[in-house]
Amino acid sequence: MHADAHTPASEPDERELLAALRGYDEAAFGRFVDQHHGALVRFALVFTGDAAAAETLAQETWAAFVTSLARVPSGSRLKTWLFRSLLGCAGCGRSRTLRSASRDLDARAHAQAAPSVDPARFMTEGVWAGGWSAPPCSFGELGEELRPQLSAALQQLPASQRQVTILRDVEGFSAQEVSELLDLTEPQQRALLHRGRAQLRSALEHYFEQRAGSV
Amino acid sequence: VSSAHPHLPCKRVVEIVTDYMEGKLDPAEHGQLEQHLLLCDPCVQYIEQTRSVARALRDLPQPPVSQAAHQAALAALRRLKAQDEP
Repeated sequence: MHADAHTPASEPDERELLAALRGYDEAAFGRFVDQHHGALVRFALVFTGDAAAAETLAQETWAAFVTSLARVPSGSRLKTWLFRSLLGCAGCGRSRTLRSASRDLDARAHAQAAPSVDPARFMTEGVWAGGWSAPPCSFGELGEELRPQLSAALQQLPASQRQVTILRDVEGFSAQEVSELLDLTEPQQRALLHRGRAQLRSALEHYFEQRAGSV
Repeated sequence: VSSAHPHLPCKRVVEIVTDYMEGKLDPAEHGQLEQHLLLCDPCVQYIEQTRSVARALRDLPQPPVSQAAHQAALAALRRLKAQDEP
């Protein structure tokens, strides 16, 4: 799933794939589509908020991607170029309601302000002020059974946090790639990733607390 | 109740977890955090849970690709090829 996320186009496999795609090799393109279409739809959903519109945006992305293959810069990863194509299409806003722009501004401001953990969980007085008064609820390794909860929590993140968290943690892009794709500084990218992960951890902790309480 | 380090309270630790995981803390704060983690099990647990979330995200399955979506993408390639042909 992530095998090519960190494979630069300068490596032989990527160069061969690029040459095949430029040569209209349908088998190679079909495999590339099968490998990445689901990821495109998942990321497109951040912009559309609607599954059907996300599918449309993903299809527009494929059309833009194949048209732009001649312009893939040397050393660029094809997966990165594909997601860049999606962002370009999302910016056009022809076939969907773009709801992210103003929310992004809110989320970026929020990323600077909101604490990662409810301040009520820390002591406020005494020599240990700032230490945990209500430490994290214990939960172990997150197995397959937790995927629905994690996916649902991911959908609830503010758009900019969700974009960064999907690109970094789900798709495996590097910090530099995500910063470039989303036109963020690396500290901004890291702040959004931090808020996203913190909210997901908190959501899972809440799930475990509720589960423990219902036993 | 945790045994917080007086120079780096737990409340601060939870705000720098990602900087720590990404190797972006300045050396002084990195050292303080490492010292803190020797003393504070809840913060160790918090960081491990954050790592666990990142790992679980990595393992989320990709949504399936329908045959219709596959064919629609291929059609885009064929349209471009047709335009390219003399």
